[in-house]
Amino acid sequence: MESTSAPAHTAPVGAPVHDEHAHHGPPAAHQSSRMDPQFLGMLLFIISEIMLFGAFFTAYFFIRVVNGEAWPAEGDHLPVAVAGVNTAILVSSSFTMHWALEGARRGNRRALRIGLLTTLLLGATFLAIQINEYVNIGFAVSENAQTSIFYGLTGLHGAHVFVGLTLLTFATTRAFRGHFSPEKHMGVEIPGIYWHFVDVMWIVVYTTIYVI
Amino acid sequence: GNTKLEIIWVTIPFIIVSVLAGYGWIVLDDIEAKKPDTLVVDVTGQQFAWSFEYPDQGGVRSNELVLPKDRPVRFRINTADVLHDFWVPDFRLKSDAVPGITTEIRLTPNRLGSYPVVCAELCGIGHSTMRQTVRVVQPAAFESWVARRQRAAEDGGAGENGGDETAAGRQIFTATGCEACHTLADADATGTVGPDLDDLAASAARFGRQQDQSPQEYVRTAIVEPDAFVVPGFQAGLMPGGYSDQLSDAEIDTLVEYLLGVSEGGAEQ
Amino acid sequence: MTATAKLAAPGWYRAALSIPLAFAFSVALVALLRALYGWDPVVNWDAVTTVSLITMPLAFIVGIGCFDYWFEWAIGKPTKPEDHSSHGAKSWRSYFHVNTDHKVIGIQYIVTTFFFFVLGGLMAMLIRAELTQPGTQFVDPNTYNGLFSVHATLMIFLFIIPVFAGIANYVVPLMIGAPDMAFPRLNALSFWLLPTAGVMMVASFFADGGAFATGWTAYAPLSTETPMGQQFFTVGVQFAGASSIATALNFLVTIITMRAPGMTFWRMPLMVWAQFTTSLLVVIATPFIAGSQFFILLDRALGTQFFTATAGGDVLMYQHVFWFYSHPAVYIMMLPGFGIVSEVISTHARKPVFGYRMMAFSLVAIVILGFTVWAHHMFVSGMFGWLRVPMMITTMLIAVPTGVKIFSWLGTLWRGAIHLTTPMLFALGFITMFTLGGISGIMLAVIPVVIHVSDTYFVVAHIHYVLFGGSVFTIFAGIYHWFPKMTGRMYDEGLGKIHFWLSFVFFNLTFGPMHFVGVDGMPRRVADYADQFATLNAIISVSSFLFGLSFLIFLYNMVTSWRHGPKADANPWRAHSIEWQVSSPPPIFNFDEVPTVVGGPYEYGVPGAVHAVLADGKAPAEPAPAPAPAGGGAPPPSDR
Ligand code: HEA
Ligand code: HEA
Ligand code: HEC
Ligand code: CUA
Ligand SMILES: [Cu+2]
Repeated sequence: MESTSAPAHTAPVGAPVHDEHAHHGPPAAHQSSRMDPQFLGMLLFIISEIMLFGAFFTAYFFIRVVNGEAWPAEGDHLPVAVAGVNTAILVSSSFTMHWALEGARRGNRRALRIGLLTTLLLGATFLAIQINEYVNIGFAVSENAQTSIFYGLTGLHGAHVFVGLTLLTFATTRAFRGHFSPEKHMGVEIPGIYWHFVDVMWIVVYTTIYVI
Repeated sequence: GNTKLEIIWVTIPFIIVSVLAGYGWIVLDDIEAKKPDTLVVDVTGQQFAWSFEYPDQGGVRSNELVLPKDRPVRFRINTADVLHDFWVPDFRLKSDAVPGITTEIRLTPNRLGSYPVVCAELCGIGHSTMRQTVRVVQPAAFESWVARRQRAAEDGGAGENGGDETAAGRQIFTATGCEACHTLADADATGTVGPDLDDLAASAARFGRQQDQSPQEYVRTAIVEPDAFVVPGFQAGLMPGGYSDQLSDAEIDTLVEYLLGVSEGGAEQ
Repeated sequence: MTATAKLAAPGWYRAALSIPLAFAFSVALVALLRALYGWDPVVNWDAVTTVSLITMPLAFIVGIGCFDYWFEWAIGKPTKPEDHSSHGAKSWRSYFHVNTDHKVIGIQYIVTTFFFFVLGGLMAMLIRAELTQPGTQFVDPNTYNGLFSVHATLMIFLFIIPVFAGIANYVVPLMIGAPDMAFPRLNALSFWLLPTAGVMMVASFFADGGAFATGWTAYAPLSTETPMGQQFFTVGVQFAGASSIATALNFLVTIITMRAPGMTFWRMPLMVWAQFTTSLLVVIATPFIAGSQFFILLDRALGTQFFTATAGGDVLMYQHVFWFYSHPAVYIMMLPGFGIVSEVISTHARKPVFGYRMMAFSLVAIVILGFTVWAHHMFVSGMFGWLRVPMMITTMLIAVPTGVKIFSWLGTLWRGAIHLTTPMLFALGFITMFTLGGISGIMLAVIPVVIHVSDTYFVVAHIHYVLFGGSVFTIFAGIYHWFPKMTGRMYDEGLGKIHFWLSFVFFNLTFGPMHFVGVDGMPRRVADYADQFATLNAIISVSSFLFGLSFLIFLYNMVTSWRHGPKADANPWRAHSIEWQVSSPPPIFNFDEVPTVVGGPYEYGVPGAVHAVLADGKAPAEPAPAPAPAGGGAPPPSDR
């Protein structure tokens, strides 16, 4: 996401300055809010993501509460403990993410890179464990409504982890190619916010699906 | 702006809608009030016909809805497949038929006559032809109708039509909703979704031979288990299954004989 | 350019190349997965179609060039300085390429959406032709069901919702004194998602088994059982929805962070307020329709059991999720129109908007109430009985803020110097027709009434009174009003007036009688009907053809005026808001310097009132003693 008001990623670069364009660009927009446009954009996007999860939780609510179906369906078993470990993994990745961002803020490249890499690694581990859980869980998506919404919610969340990882990969690539500075690190901060959201969402999903 | 005006035009609509909502609520409670001596009718929607069952009348089934005048009725509405909506415009009441739940409406018919029963929820290709009739009759006439239906369930409807098997078959064909999809000259049916049944006798002989079935067996299977054999050029899964729940064995026999009797190509048998 | 360079550069060549590539990819992916699972046959065309429906549009968008910048950014290439090469239109060709200028995108939106309006309208003509008489005339029932489903889908998702986004794209940044939208590239992406969704909807007619035929509501479980065409709807809506969310997010950020100095929220034109509140609705509600269609898609493609009652699924859940979006969606389709009408009425009646703050508050109230009424579409659906009365009450309460708007417009008109220009005529037509549609809505909210008329032509009448007499009339008003600004030329006022009067008359003759056939017992969504409704339906059909033809006048007027119309002044309506203070059409970057806002936007007839000061000092101040402008004949406003 880009913005005219804050041409965000004008990292140091040797490209020639387009003199002939200098006077033809748009006037700088007036900043009428203290909030950064990209930060606000991500916030709104997260609101709409929460609503998407809301739609899936509505389905869950109808199946489990309104219809009063057994949870999990008779004979099925949810690996609460394994998923609990997985939760811990994902939550710890939020801390490494924060560490990376602090690195960027303080101009500590090493912390930035290592932080991003660990976050990536932890996220990928989470996904791998999740997929392994699918393989061994012993019921298929098409068995009944309970299995459908189980896969629906965890799968939707998994897709978000995947998107988050993709964004983080971009940030990591850029970090290794020398972008980001204490002044300009929106490219770390924004994926970071998204990543924290994915984490928090998992805690909600984990609690509703596995714990209660 | 003008504050006084604004207060006025917030308050007045507010009062109007409050009164309207209150009145609506009262009428709603009235519509849904339970009454004694209620006749229960189980309504089942199916692509693309309604069927009616009277559990307290010995489980009599019918494709025509018949109600005694002035007796409260409670409809319990179900569906065999997708959503339908049971609506009698002249009764001013409707309710969806929803898979998995039973919905209800209550009313007391108080005028004799025939009125249309309409399906008001889009249910597929034949939705617009899912129209039948309700007859409101005197209580005595209702009782004798019930008795006749009980006999018809045994003899396939022949008795009801004065022994006229063809008329009985035509009635079943039309009332079950076959006309939505099939062409059959004898029943004025012009549907084009399924095969033209005017040539049924010929194709039943041909396809029956392929499957080692008599034409009768073939047609019976085609009705009760449509996907057991799919007529070339048509799609499987279009013709609804479940007619065996809706029609009695005798009725299906009547229907099979009727279809073979009125279609072309019977001579080849 | 060499052939390879042409294929590598963003544009139509690359797009045309990427689509078959995406198809091949889909075949390969399906074959690979099915081979891994050991399923037979390895290539299942239904599965390929589903995957292609997702990959081919994406490939097109990538090919046309919406992602190029982001790809380079993602792999960490050195950032290019912005050269604005993809900004502004150089010739008509620029409109067929990815462009990040909000004015170009606005025009792209408007023209594209009107294209789909014509398609959807022609489908309506076929619907009416079929319904001229009972029995089967032109189309079989399956095609008929497809026709009204695609008709409604195009009208809602490809016309009303995006055309408002298009008009707002053009005028909102100008109105708040911003050089562009906050995220110009996202803006371009939002636009290009749209034609792909539209093409998908129309292409469903060519699918095996015909177009999706379950109405625009796609109720389960019918929609999980019908042939392949349904998939086009299920996936197409995701694209249209993504486009909608992205634009809304863009508007919110633009309006919050890019207002000119001095432009407080209470100095924003109501058009901006309307866009702001609509965008809130979109961002919060639209994910729900995405969810509902995900469930359908999963049930169809992966065999999940969300809607199989015998396996614990819940059919009514679909309707709750769907309407939790689609009720707010009807306000998404109306609030921007409210904004347009406020601009038009105040400008063409030369009076400040009556009760400006209440106008803004009522928009917010509608947004909030709008989320509490979804189940009024489910009064006969067999849902929880206890939910009905609360929903009836909240639904009716919406009449209060909506009434505030209607009365405030009347208050604005009251003793104004009314100029009966074409936009004003459409605004006045809107007020009357929308009030009728709103009142039929209130009738639909009374449960004992709706138990009878739900799913009948009474509802069809309501739909078209609020959507055509409401939304489309405001769109016409807006297009005529801003036509000089957008094209730099004037439209033909005489033709405009003829267009209005023909539309107004035939609109009522077409949709008015539908109330009566509905109450008499004609259900909606039927290809065939009982003989008792024949006369009225014949009248409706004939009027609808004339109604359709009246649109040709509009089309002719727009096309010829755009090409040969007389040059328009910067400010032909002598309006105060900022978009009228720049040239027509506006300069490529809107302003040399961001203007400064010093007063309210509607101070018409207030001596010396100024809304904004531009860099070159141009600012339309009301002439000290307000003269009675010609045409209206009314005395100058004495209010204040
Ligand atoms: C632009 C779109 C739009 C708008 C603005 C509205 C506005 C309203 N709608 Fe409508 N509606 C639709 C589009 C819209 N609707 C569509 C598309 C459907 C069908 C969907 C489908 O099934 O396909 C539908 C269906 C629909 C139903 C379901 C019918 C059914 O299928 O059974 C109901 C029921 O409550 C309803 C009610 C209302 C109400 C109360 C309003 C209110 O917001 C109206 C408020 C306005 C006024 C009341 C007029 C102005 C006010 C005054 C002048 C003040 C004084 C008035 C009073 C005191 C009454 N609508
Ligand atoms: C914005 C929304 C919108 C708009 C603008 C329209 C416009 C029209 N609509 Fe539609 N309609 C809906 C939204 C809309 N509709 C919805 C939501 C439904 C419910 C669907 C469902 O049940 O799922 C519906 C359903 C619907 C039905 C009910 C179908 C049924 O239930 O069986 C009918 C029937 O008459 C109808 C008619 C029309 C007509 C005649 C127009 C006319 O106004 C169209 C006029 C426009 C043109 C004709 C095109 C441009 C003209 C030309 C290019 C000139 C050439 C003209 C000729 C050849 C004559 N509509
Ligand atoms: C929704 C549409 C639909 C309805 C309703 C329907 N059918 Fe069919 N019918 C079809 C289709 C499609 C086929 C061809 C595919 C197949 O054989 O399953 C078919 C095939 C048949 C055949 C075999 C025809 C042949 O030429 O061999 C018979 C017999 C038949 N239907 C009888 C009936 C009867 C009797 C009813 C009503 C009780 C009925 N159908 C209702 C769609 C329908
Ligand atoms: Cu059954 Cu429509
Ligand atoms: Cu609604």
